[in-house]
Amino acid sequence: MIIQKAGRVGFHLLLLAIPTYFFWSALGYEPRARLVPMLVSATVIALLLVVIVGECRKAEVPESGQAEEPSLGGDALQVAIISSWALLFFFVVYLVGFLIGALVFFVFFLALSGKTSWLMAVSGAAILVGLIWGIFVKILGLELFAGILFGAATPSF
Amino acid sequence: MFDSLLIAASQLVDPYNFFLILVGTVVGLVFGFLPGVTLLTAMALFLPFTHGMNPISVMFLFSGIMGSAPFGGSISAILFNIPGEPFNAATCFDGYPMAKQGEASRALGISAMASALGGLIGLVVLILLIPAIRPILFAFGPPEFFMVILFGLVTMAVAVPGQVLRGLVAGGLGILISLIGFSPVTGVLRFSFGSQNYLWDGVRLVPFFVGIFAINEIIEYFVHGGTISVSGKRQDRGFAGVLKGVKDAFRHWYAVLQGSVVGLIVGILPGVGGTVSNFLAYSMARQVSKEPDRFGHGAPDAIAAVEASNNSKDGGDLLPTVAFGIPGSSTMALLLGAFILHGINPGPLLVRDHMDIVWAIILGRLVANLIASALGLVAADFLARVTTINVMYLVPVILTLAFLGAYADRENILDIGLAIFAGIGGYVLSRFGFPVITLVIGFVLGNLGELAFLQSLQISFGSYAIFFTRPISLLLFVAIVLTFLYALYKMLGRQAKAREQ
Repeated sequence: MIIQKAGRVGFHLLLLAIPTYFFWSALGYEPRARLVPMLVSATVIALLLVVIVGECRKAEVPESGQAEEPSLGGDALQVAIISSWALLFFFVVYLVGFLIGALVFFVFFLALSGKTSWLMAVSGAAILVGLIWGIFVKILGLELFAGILFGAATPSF
Repeated sequence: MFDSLLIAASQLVDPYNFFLILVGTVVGLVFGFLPGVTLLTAMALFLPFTHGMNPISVMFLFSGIMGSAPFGGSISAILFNIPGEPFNAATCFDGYPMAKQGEASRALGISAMASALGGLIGLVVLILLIPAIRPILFAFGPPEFFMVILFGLVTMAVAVPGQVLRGLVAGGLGILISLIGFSPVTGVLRFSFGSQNYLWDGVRLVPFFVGIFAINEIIEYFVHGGTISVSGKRQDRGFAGVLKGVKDAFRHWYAVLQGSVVGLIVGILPGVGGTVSNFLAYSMARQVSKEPDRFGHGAPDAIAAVEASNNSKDGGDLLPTVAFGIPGSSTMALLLGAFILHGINPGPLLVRDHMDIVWAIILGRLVANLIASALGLVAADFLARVTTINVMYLVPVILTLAFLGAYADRENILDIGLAIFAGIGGYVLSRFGFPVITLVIGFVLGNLGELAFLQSLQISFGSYAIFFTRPISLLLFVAIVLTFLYALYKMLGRQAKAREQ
């Protein structure tokens, strides 16, 4: 319980960094450009501080009948796994392009997480990629990202 | 005026023109359904093919696309929590939870019926208002618009029971995210995190929505497994669910009417856009609902209000477009482009000299709305079956569609990264009790609010009194204060009750 509470307070403190960054950055802009960001970020900082104080004052063990405090709880690992899948998919698309990336992701995801046979996974992937190619590329004329390994330009940030 | 109506009506019954409306309706449904591929893309793709066509036929084709795309977008919002068009985002809030409860057909039924009714109301009011548009446009200046935005935000934040503070924080964070990019007044690049290029025009709406709604939901699927319909079954097999939804739309006629009025007013204001009308309709419906606590959990009046506003806003949008030649949105700008391409000068002379064209748009939209809703009602039962498929098979499909949607907006691979970031961030925030709804509303309304706020101060030479001296603005301010007081009263009541227990 103490760990959960510390986690909740830690998350809120981390969240506090966002409006603080906006407030700090806004100080450097000219008056008209900083007015609204400063007003909003100062308000959010104040409200978040109230939330954090409330979190600190909360009982460590919820009283009987009281709802459990919101947190990631035991789902953190699952959230990390699916987030990693999404990031991995993005990375593969970035490297080898959309069509191959989708094919690879679909096959591995279905076979490993969906627990289907490799044959089913490959067939499903082929149908999906075929549909993407047919609808988005051939009919709608969308130029899918080709992947930096196949000559696509690195996008500038 | 009636001569032109007869000309347009006679053109409508021409098989070729009717076929064009049908084609436009199907195209609009498909483009609306596919995330990231917008109504604007559909119109832009079809514009070159209209060369050599009769202008009235062109208007029938475009009316078909415009009339059906909002409903197409609602289908993916209800079934997968992916808004097909940015202006379908608020449909996700209650349409998708209803689908999760095994009532996807009912949600689609409400959506189809409310869309048809909203579209009808929008067009009828358009016909009535064409002669009287000028005073309406002038009554709503930047101070009034700023107060409308503030009202929408406050209403949403205070409406989440027990989460008012977190709702306000989430709304504030949404506003801050919307301020990333160049300042609309000074042109200064703000909060760019070192980016000189990618964040120049801010955080894009489409990848942000794809992340917040679709990727957020994919995480939820993965964490909890099972099927979209939590029980694994559909509560509303057959046509009964669809019929129930149709009845819901009539039962909540007030929400439909209110949503239509909000859509109309926001549609008339140039540059505001359908997404705003969608969220404002949602927050106002919550404000007057008898069961506000059901909002976010599959409230039928929420779906009805949002869908009605989605479809009525085009009626409002058309008003300044045909009466003044001032497009209220990018879609209307493209429609104006089509006018010019076919030798028609938009503006006041259009209503005087080419009223048949205006009638063609109105009648075409009306027919397209009805066809799209009828198709939706027929297909709803079949489409609802997707909610009983194991989500592990849906995850890769929806993630791929989400990536495509985020990328297709402007063909930038970094938008996929942004969508992932927004999705994970939104999910974690919601798990810690911060309502994503207010985050999204803050994001949508934030930069528009800043612009209206600064424009108001420019008009008043820096005096804040401008917000309290104009009647409509003052009225809205009073409504905001009353909303806060009401929330405070409710909170104190809850605390007193808890102490007694």
